[in-house]
Amino acid sequence: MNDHKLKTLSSITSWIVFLLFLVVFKNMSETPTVPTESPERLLLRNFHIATGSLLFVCSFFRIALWFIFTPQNNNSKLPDFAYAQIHVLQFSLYCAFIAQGISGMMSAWWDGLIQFVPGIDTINHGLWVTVGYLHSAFGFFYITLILFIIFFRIYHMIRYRVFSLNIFA
Amino acid sequence: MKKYLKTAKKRHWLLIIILLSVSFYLPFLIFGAYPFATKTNLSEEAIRDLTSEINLPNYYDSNSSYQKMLPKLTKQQKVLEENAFKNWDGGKCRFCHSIKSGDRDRMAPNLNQIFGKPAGVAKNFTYSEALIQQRESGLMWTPETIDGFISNPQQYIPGNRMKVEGIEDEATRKLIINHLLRESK
Repeated sequence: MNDHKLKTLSSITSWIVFLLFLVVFKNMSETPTVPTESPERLLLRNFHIATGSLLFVCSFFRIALWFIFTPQNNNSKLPDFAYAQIHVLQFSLYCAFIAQGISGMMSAWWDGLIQFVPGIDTINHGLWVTVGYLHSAFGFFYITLILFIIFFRIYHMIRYRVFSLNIFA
Repeated sequence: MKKYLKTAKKRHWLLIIILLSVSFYLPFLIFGAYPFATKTNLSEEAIRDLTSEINLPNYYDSNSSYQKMLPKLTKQQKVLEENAFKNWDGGKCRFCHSIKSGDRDRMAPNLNQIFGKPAGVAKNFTYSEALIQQRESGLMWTPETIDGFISNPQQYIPGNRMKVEGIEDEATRKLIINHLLRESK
């Protein structure tokens, strides 16, 4: 695949991840306010598992593309170290999505919500508590990363006159 | 990508490590979550020892004054009590607590047979030092102590892990306690 195609594919994947993130974030904010045993809650939870899994797959794909197609510094006014800083934050953001996906799937697995092998009792409260904590921690991690990316984008705009809305690379 | 990871300075990675460390603390700070569950906090024998010298009524006995004082369980009353226990605009209790004996444990202790139990003895939950101290001081869960606790958890037992706002409305607290008296048998 040539560079142009890879760049287009990377860009499309980034936008898909961004949109999926918005959907998952909205779902994540809404779900806790719905009573635990209601049908709406079940629907929201299943939707969370489905969109969260998609977000995990797309983030994984985006990271893979990133390693194949090295991002170019299109903003010549932005020094390399400043550009690298944004990329380190964005790289960590995708890693957080992947970690979030893995911990989420493990959490659902040990909560008995998903089963890859039928007939096996996967429920384990202790492990569910631990991975649930990790899932929550990685959630906070990507929120702080996004806030810092926005902060640095604003800083670069003031300091180097480089404006970019590109949060998800 | 490798080029940018190499160009990144130590301070860039330091920021990531700091953010990650803070993020790992936030679930505990905000929700009172804990990364490990303690399977058994106290043996049955130790729980019996804690309660042996305390003469509490059987709150679940149909002849007890607590059960007799419960309002008649009409359809409307049932909905009111359930909503107070389960809903976000009620007590939000069901989001973390299960109540029936066969219910799966969630993020907080199971409330089955809660009345007449010492504080901090449920299984599959890691209690705060504050609640363990209360247990050792002889705190027992009764309708009155539960009422006091849920009205302002952090004031009632400072430092405990139930990081929710208290329920100021006395009528809502009463509905929750009624629900517990009926359903946690």
